[in-house]
Amino acid sequence: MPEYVKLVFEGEPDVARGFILGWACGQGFSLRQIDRNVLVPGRWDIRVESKLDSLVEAIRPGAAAVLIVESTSADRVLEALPPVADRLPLHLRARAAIRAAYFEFKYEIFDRKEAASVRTIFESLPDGADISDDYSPEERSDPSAHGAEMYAPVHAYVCRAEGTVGGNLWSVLQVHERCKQYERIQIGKVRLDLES
Amino acid sequence: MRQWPVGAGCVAAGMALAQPVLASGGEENGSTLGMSLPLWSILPFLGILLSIAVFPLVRPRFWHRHYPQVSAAWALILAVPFLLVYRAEAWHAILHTYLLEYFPFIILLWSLFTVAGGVVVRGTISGTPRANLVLLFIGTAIASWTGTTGASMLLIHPLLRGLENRRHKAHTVIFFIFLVSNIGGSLTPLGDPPLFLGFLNGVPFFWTLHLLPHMLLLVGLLLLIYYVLDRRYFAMERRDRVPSAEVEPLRLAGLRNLPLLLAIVGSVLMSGMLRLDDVVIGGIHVPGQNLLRDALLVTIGLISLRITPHELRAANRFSWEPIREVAFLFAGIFMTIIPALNILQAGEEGGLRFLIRAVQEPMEYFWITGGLSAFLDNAPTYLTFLNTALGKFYPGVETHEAVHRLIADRVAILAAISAGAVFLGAMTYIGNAPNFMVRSIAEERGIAMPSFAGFLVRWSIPILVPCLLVVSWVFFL
Repeated sequence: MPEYVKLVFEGEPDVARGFILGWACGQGFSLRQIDRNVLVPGRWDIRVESKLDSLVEAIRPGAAAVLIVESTSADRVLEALPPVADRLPLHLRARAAIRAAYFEFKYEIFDRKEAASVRTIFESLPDGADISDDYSPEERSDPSAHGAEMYAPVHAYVCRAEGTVGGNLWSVLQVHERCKQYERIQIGKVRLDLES
Repeated sequence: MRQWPVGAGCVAAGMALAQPVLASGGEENGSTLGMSLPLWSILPFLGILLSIAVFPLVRPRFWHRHYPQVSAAWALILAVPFLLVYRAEAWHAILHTYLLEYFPFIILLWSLFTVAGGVVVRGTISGTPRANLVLLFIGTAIASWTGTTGASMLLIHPLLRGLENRRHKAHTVIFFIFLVSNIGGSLTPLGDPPLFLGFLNGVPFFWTLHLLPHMLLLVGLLLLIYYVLDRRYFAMERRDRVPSAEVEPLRLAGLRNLPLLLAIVGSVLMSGMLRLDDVVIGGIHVPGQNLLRDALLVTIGLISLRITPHELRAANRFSWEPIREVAFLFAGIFMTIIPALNILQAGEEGGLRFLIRAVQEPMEYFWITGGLSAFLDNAPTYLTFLNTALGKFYPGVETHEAVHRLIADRVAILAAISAGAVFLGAMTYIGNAPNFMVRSIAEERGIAMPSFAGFLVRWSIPILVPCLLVVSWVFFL
């Protein structure tokens, strides 16, 4: 399982992204490797700072860029930064190892087939991901429902549950992406548990 | 003049006070009754409307199981003391309402529902902004002839099949509710229940075509907004769009029902043009042409049932439940609305004179009728404000005659009431009958439809209301 670090740069976000992606291309990484080694938080719905941090960041002078980079690659990226420091307005402000990641979800589904697919997501999690103990899907059928109704609609079948998926960042992101395929799963942003 | 004792529980006191004005169930103008009915006699009407609005949202399972009993309870709360106090007058008013309004209303809805439910649109559209736009346009165009419920039933499944490869879907269903389930039904009495109630009260069949400019402007604005929005979402989806499933060309099945649809239009038209002798039922004069129309509508429905293969109805997920709901709930609505309509018809002499005085201009009729139609069912709301106008300008005049005078003298007011009731029925899930049905079907297909408040705050208020402001500014200012 890849380990990741959160890097905070002082400088324009586009410059930071461009530098790291350019570095990765220069190293001969394939697109698939780049996708896995350099995570742009917005692309993956990763919440990288608390609301208080966002507020502090908003009033702080100068721009900042946050990227999540695979640990080994991060070391090499940071080694590549000093030689170009005089030409590139980019400086490392902070670095923190990511211990784990997690996101909350909730669903309410009215179709048996769709419910079965959704349950499979949470019942066959990838290695490194785990689900909270409070996850307990509740299914209910109502034989009195009669299909499409106008004034008193109830669904003939309901499956609902909520919980939290946590674990290794990469595994959690895989589950988060699968959940995005289903509109009826409400998913929160992926949050990070950082080493202090 | 008789007084109804304060407190619905005082039935015995009411009986003691009751002195029949009419020795038998003869004809009497509603305004006399309306002058003596106390204002609180409209409480059961408000009660049933609020039940329809609130229970599906806060207690859906209770409502699903017990709505017939709730409807019957409100009807009885009104009917028992009403009959005990007003006796022959009350009996006459009730019989009049059911024979001349409720049964024709239910028979028309049943026949439209039966015939439209036998037509199936098969195949899949591509789900592109252009294809969705065309489907919304077609749905809007046919809703006035199939009824908004029929058009919604017919087209929601092909629309949802087309959306399967799209990531953003809810907005298309929301515009479908705006356009097909509501606004599209504004051109004929077949389109939306309020307009058929208008027809039953004397509004000519083709008069509603006067709403064409209003509808065209509103539909044009909404389709434009939809297209811009859907193109934007479509462009955002390019990156991760699921490869399109096989696109089957659209085709209609159950075409044998289309002539029956025309026969329904013809039957309703005939009843507005032909004059046959009245038939007296329990002292109520029922026009012969109305009975003929209702008999034809029942026959047309039965023919549709006979000639439509079962699998076509199954493909539409056809069930009788929606019509059963309408029959039970409107049985209660038509009973409880009697005092409100009679009081309104009494004009300044009735207990609702404050309402009659408050609503003056077409713009006010549009927004007040519409505002209430958004949260209460639009059919009784239409009747209430039609009678508000009739009571204001023609108190004591027989309803059909008053409606004709309203069209001759103050046509903008009738247009405002009609447009308000139909257009603003789209504001919420409870504004018009098909809205909830479409939401339910979409949810079962995995679409995350907005909540009641989400629909209102994120879609109706920012999109529909500005368009309605333009329409009301252009036509009713």
